[in-house]
Amino acid sequence: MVDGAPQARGEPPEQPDQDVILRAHGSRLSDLTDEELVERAQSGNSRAFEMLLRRHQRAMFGTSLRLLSRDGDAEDAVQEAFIASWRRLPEFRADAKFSTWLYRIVTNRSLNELRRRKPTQVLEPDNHPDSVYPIDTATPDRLVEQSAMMDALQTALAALPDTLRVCWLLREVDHRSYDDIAGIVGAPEATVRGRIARARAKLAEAMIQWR
Amino acid sequence: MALNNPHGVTDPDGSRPVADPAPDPAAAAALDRAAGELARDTDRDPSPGLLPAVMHTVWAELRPGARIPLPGSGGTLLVTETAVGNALVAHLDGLPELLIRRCTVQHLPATPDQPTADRPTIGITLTAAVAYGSRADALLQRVRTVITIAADQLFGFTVDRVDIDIVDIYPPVGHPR
Repeated sequence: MVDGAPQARGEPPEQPDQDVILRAHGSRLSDLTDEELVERAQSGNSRAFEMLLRRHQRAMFGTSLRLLSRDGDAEDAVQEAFIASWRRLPEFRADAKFSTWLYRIVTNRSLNELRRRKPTQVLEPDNHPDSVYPIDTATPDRLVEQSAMMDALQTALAALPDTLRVCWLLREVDHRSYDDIAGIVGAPEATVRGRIARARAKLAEAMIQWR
Repeated sequence: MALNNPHGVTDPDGSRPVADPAPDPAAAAALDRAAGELARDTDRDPSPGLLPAVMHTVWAELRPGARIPLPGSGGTLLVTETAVGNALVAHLDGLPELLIRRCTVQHLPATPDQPTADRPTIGITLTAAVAYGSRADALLQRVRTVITIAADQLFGFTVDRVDIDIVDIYPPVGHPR
């Protein structure tokens, strides 16, 4: 019975049992944890890496989209971030959470893209067919109100320093834990809590007309 | 005095709670509504082309290890050590009570006592987790058998040695991991 961590080294293989191979087909890649997939990917298994990306791409795209506001820009940032994560995978340590590590790369890439845009612009949803605001089927009044409220939020978000904006988005929209956010932004948890509180106060001030 | 401190903000040394600037409750509620809208509006998959574009680069940059000539090809058909390892892991994934974490394949130099000069010999190093309660000796023997057959049938390679490190024990199927 297995009750420890035995090792078996260098024993010669037994004679092949031809029927074993027929029962040995199949894959459980989708059942593996992130940690297990990371280990396989680190030893060169590209399918394991693809599974990791497939698992997290929606969350990562959403995070980037909330920072950049345009699908095309968010896709570019996420694509660059995913490639960077592949290149840096050998450096990844198992004591960290893969998702936190990936969030950090995606967030940094998105912020870099944001800083590259000069001067800072608040995107007008109507001028951008791939903006974050989808065409809705609600009543026109409701649509106008919702669109204006989201404009106000985006304007207020754009006015925040990056450090506050990222922490607030990760907490209030992505619903990440304080601990995760601390790992993503590389700051102590107390600092993260302070940033979120300050961001919330500033954003609420900007939303007063939408009470 | 009760503090308006929903995020548990503390002073720099983390010892005492500090009051947030108190946002207007109705404005805070409007902000929460807007945050909810933003979450809904941005909760979607990227375009289907994103992942293939990433994987195209990944495949181009794979660290494939040494190339091993396939028997009978006269050295014109080669397979990488990584590809062999991935194929072997795909077979081992069919075994119950076992989870392969890493698989490294090494093309071993030919020795004078090798039975067939054209048949490359490989050595394999595995790290794996096994289910709690499984019989490790029988399981590991089975791993060696599967690897030997798979290496032979898929590539025509001879397996010289299989080193296995069991690095974790996990609960059996049906139990929370």
